[in-house]
Amino acid sequence: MDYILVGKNAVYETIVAALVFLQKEENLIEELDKNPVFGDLDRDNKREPIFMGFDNRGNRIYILGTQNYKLIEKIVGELSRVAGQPDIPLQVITMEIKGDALTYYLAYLADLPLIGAWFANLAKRWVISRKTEIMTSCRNTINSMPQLEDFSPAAKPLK
Amino acid sequence: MILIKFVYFDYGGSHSSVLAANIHLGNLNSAKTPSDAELINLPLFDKTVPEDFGTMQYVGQDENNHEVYVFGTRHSDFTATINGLAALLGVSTEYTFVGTMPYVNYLLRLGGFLSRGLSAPSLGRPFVFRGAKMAYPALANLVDRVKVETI
Repeated sequence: MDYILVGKNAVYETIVAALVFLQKEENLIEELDKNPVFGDLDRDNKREPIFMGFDNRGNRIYILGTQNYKLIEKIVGELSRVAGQPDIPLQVITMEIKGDALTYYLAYLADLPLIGAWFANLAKRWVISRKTEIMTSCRNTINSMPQLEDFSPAAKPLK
Repeated sequence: MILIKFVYFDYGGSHSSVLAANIHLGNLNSAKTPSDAELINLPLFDKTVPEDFGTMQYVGQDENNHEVYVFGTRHSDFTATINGLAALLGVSTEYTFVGTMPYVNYLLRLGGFLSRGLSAPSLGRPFVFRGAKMAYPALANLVDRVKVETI
């Protein structure tokens, strides 16, 4: 079973959620700094699933950012149903994270000439400033989905 | 022969995708712009409800037994995403996805918003009919191209 985390912005909040899934949350800031996908709007604008890595069971973890993120689970179910698959081999995890609308607009403004880079940077800082909140939201999502119990992270102090 | 599922998709799954699917199936003559009555008599044309978003709606089987569907994705540029998701599911070879959003003109947008978005078909349908007729030749060309390239 592979997993895809979907949210409004793949390369901002959703990537943080993916790092929680990949159990890289302890050094989150360092992980974000060294991950080229974080804040990469060109990648986000391609609107394709982005491969993030394998979890400790060998499952692939993907992220996707799209305006209609709440509909992705249904769309995946339909693609699978009409193709006649007996089971859906992809688990969609919808990430609803408070504050992601502001990130979305900052990312939108990042396309502006000259001052766009400033907004792109601001979006990154906005995400980093909410890392605890995003991680909590991710854990709540994991806990609310019984099929994700393998991912339930042990309670660890946040750095 | 390998059977393919043709999926025509747009934002609402109600207008341009329905036209393209029906042109594909021969329910509409690609060489002749349809009348208002022909349009409104199409089973899915300007009739979808919000619950239909994300549901693949079967329209029929073409002359080569390929199935044809319409899909409302609630997104104006969903081609890369839908192809990516199909690849992750391992079903890419089953489908041909055809986005019809580039053929949606401002009249279709306005009419669709009034008719489907605000549930005021009496206000929206005159714009929808006009917009659909304007978009029709380009949609017919699209379907011809898709059939030639795919089949």
